[in-house]
Amino acid sequence: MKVSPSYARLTEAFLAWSELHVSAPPKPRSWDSVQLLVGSAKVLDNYALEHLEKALADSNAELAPLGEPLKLNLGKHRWLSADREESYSDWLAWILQGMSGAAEILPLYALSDEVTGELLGPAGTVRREVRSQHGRTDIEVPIGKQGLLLIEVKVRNTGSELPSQLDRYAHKVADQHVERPLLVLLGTEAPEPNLDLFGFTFTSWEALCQRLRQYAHRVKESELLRAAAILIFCGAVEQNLLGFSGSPRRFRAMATVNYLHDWRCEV
Amino acid sequence: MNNEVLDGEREFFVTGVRTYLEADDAMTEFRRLVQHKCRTVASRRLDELNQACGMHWTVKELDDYFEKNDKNHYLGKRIEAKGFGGVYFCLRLSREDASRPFDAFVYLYRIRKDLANGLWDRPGAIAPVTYKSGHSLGFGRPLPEDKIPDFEDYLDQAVTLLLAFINESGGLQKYLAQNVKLGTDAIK
Repeated sequence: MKVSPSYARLTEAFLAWSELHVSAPPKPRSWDSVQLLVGSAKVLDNYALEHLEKALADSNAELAPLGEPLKLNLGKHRWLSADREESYSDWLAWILQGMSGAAEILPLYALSDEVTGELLGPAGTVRREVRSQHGRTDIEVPIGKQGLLLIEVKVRNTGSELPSQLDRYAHKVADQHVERPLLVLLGTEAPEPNLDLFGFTFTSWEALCQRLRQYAHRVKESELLRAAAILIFCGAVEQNLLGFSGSPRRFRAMATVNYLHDWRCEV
Repeated sequence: MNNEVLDGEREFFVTGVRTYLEADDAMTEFRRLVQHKCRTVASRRLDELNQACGMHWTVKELDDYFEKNDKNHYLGKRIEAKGFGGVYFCLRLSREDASRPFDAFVYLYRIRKDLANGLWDRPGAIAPVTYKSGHSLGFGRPLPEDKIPDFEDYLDQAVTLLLAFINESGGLQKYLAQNVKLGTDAIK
């Protein structure tokens, strides 16, 4: 009897060969290109630093009688150091609790299209760290009679465990038979485009803070203290998670100038 | 190994230790700058894209985009069409094609290969597709070395190609299955 060769055994060899494949001829090792790029970045940084003061002043004036939160150093507060995901979630949950409902909360996550009749209504009690067989969710906000906003908060780059985590939370919401689940992944960097997010929509911290700044700008006349608290939260996120600052670190001046310009564009 | 190789390796290592973080910061800033330029172009053409795709996108929905593989790096912005995929605006840097190392590139992405099949099958008479795969339809404008400062203009032209293709095809909505309502419902 003729026996087929076991081709599967060759897979390992093919994989080893593919590792050896080089698509372009190797170039001599050199840092020349890097030094050229770094030199250009320094020129841009100097230019941006000249414009930063004006950008801070303009933003400061826009937020009067409050002020520009990037002028306040929030980088050394232990509550707000970069790896304190719980602190950021707690503060964000508190901010959401102060909002009236879907019409105010959902646009923060670019979910304005979802604000339809069935979702109109006040937000329920914002819940933190809800435990279930599927794990512990970061923030849950019941909205109206049929909606549930679930926010998974990330303050660092996400790892390979993210899809399975989101899958579990999507199942949790499905088990609850929520009619209008609104699933949000909040993070510093957008996940890989082809990654399955299991119905979650990504919102960046940068976009969220810009919208919160605009919100604080709108409510500062009537709710000065709440607006102040929201702006301080923005300042903490911007400095600790996004690297913006009134005294920016190397090569972050232009990013800060652009950021300050962008949030004011839609005021 | 001879001494010359060892000296070269030592110098490369020492320069690397001294330069690495600065280089990494410069790369981060470069990516951000490209993304900012892509955002500017995408914002400018958003109304036309909304019309062609039957969407109600706003500038706020533009997310950062960075992807790389062995052949290409893509830096830019993307906007999501829930249940379908999205539109990507980017600078494509190629290792593969020495004659075309830089491209201003716009592409339509579908999450599943059975979505908008009619659109993927069209050759594109006015605006020929420059890149096609199971998931992507791309429209690129090669960026000559001396035109790099004009990247935004080239990206704008790539958007024009995408729009021409979608419009001559009768709009994006026409190709979507009944169960896909762009921007609201995910496909079950």
